[in-house]
Amino acid sequence: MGVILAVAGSAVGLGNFLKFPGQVATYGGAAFMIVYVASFLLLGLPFAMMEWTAGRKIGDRYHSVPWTFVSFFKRPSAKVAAAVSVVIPFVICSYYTYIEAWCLGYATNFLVGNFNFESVKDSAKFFGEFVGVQENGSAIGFSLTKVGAYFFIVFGINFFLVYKGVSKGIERFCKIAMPLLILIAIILVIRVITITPPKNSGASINQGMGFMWNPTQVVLQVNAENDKWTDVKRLVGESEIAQAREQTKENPKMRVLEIPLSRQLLNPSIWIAAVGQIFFSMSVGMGIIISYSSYLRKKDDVVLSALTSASANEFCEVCLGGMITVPAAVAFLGVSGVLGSCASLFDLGFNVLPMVFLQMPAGWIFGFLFFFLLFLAAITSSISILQPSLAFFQEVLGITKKPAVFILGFFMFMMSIYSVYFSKNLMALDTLDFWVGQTLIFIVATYEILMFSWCYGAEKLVKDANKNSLLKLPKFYAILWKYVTPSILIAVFLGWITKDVLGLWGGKLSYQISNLFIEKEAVSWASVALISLLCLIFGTMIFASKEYKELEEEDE
Amino acid sequence: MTSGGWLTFILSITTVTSLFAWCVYKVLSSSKKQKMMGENLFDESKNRK
Repeated sequence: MGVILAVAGSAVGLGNFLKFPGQVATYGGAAFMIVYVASFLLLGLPFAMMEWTAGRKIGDRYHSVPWTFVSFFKRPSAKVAAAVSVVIPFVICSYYTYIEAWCLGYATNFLVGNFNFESVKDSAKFFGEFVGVQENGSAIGFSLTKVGAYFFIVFGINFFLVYKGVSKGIERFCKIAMPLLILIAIILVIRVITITPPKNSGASINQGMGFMWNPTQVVLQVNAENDKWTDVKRLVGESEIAQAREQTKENPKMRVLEIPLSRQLLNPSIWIAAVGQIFFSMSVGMGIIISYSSYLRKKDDVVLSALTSASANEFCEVCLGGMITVPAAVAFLGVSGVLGSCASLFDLGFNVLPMVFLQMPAGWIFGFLFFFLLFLAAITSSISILQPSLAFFQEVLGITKKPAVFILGFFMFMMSIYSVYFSKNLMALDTLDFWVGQTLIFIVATYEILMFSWCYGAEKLVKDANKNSLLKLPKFYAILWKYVTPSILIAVFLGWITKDVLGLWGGKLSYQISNLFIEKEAVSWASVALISLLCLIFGTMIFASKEYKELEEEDE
Repeated sequence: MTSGGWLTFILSITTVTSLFAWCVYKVLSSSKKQKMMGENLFDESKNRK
């Protein structure tokens, strides 16, 4: 059982409980789930299988992504991609620990009874002050209502577990944390199902579930000008729809429109959202899986391990994550209340949900449990995100684990403090996430799958996967790796760049691009410069490393 | 929630739970066969340092 829990811990994170339900609700239940399942089968699972197989094969002596790339691909471009592949988990972990500190801080504040909000606005105000949205440096404080102290605690726990090692630290911790996480999630699901919403919300759990899962979306539209219909409100529930129909009977400038499943599937945004959700939720392309699986023995079954890890992640995401946040938020605040307050992933979790818990009887207990659940989900992920960077420092500097932990700890601390200090509008965190956690990760992942399938050989990889595996990977996986998965990745990446980044194709120019080139924000430029500097430093370390040169020669 | 919503919900939950349960069963039964129970997943002795 420890096997399942350890690998699942790395995959289950904040996205399972915050991002997934929001995505399902935004894009419509059935339509999103169809695309989501297709993305899981055609992108997530093949990618995970590839990384598990490569990790087990490479892991006799080395455990980092750079060595995997250099050893498998044997060309200079591999060293460049390798440098970027080190930057990705390093930077992601630096701001992930900051977010982890929010979760611990919210759990603590619920436990000590510090929360007493009247509205979502009050809740948002607390969040802003807690994480330091108003001013740079304002997050660093050591009271219960400032994120500073929690950050130090979280940082210490992460490095203590990593210092203890993969099996004595991370695996042992996950054996306790993962069952606890699932138990807490089940308690919260039961609580959400049995909620009696306040009468003034005008909504119910059934409506919340309908908001997430109904295949046909019903919207109220208004014809403002030039026969152009615009959405006013999402309608959920028979009474709300009937009421809107009555209203539109008397007003020809309003109508109730049912958007069928087939039309929702034609929306490119749903594909971008579902592929992105699968990609980030399964932690592929970050080097975590390669690093973890490199510690497996040759006799271990990578096909079953990959499938088990992926299914555990899906179980937490769909069955637990999908049942807590959105249904509860809709039941208490109504559909429009939730949609109006959820501009981002953090809004739902840190602004809306505290308000929901405060309205429940004994809400402080459930609020504490929910944020403690998020903390556990985040920490089981962050300790695994640290692993690829640690392996890299050990290899490239030729040092043992203990000094490597201290060196990594020092650099990670400096990088994390950057996100914590430049907290105004969360600009540092946001910029780092945009360029590293969303852009570079896609580029490196595309390089990785193309090189594994075309340079190393997809057919060879299928054979490697099937060595000592109870379940055999079908031969069509070679076709998936060669053609299908890279095509989906490239198409979605281009679609995302065109629509959501550059604002073409009916999209909106991303504010991260606007911050850089229009607003010319210093922190945005500093973040991009920092990422470039890290790529340069890690690249130089890889190209100059005696260890790597010797190993290359050994291979030749 | 409409009947279509219930269908999507039940289908999603059942599929994911069944897959996870089947994987757990397979891991536990294969662990027994290979006498892996009680061993650590990760073999850190493989680390060269």
